[in-house]
Amino acid sequence: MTQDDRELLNRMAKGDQSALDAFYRLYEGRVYRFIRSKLNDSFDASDVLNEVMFEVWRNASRFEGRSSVSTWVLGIAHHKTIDRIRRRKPGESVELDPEMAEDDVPDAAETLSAAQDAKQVRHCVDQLSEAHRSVVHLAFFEDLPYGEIAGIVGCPEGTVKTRMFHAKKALMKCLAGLKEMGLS
Amino acid sequence: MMAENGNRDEALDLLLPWYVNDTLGAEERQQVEAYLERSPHARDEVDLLRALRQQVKEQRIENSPGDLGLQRLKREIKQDTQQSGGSDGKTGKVVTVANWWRPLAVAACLAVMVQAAVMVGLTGLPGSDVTTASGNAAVLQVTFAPDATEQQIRDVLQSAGASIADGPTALGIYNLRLVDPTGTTVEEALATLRASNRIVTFAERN
Repeated sequence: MTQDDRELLNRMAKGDQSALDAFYRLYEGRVYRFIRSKLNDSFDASDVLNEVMFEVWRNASRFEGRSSVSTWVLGIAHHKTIDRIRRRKPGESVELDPEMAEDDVPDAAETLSAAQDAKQVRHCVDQLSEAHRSVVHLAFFEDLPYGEIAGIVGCPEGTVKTRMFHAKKALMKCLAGLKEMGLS
Repeated sequence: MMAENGNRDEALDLLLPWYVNDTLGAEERQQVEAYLERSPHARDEVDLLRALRQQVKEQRIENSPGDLGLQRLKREIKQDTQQSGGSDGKTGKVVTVANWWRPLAVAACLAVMVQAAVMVGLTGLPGSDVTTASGNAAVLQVTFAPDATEQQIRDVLQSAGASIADGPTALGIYNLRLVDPTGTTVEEALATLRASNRIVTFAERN
């Protein structure tokens, strides 16, 4: 798969549009889903996907092979999505939410039943900051190692781990709150 | 933060999500497995993380743009090439790709809204014969794969209990109505359409 990806990029760098077709079909679903996990708007997500693929086409020759192709493409998607969020909400930070007070975080066992309810989990994931949602998506949907996630979102590995830690705590609080309200 | 506290080890807690997605290196994996042996807290955390991972994996979103998106991309590459006088669109020129898409999408939506308004107006007139036999409105929007045959589209629509109300729009979108709203819900039709993702590339509520 990796060799195929790189071969496609090499051909795209030479202007081969059939390689673009193959590359697009290979990555479009993954990239769209990643963007969509950060943007709650399918039109915006389609626009950003288009921008990402356009940039991949234009810059295929600049891929240096220091990361996997998927890390490179998802990294472009990450930055394009953040640009879109900033344009949509000027002045709004897209970095970590202020660290939440972590007292009263329930035990994992207490929130397990709520974590098995798809609607509750969806609701709570949607409440996370963009930075936290990205890490959760890349770790649990893409099943990527923390080192690769750090490459995509452009931060140290330790930051990825702590973002995931805080995201989990936020999810637990949210799920426990829904449980208290009798919604799970 | 990293100190061990009772049966908790916060440094190892940070690794649990990557134990769950099975991407830890051998050394870290062994450390986590030893931690799980001795810590009920760690085992509860892993159960929770596994449940969360499963839900994240199973979350459904609408279909990606598919071939419609590829066609759009190729149009923009071609447009960029023509504007720049280059040969392959690799000019480094930044293109605001959303510019043509938004007005077109808005225009398409407006066209549907105007059409809907006209229909509502007409159906509201006494003695009007524009109302469909079942009186049901377009409730779904879909796009079809460019290589889908008429037979495939017909089969999908019949299995979803839907028919084409109007379209395609400039973006290739069709509006669908339910053939029998009392026998099929919108959710059921939507699920059937989305399950046929080789034929239906996009399906959403109207």
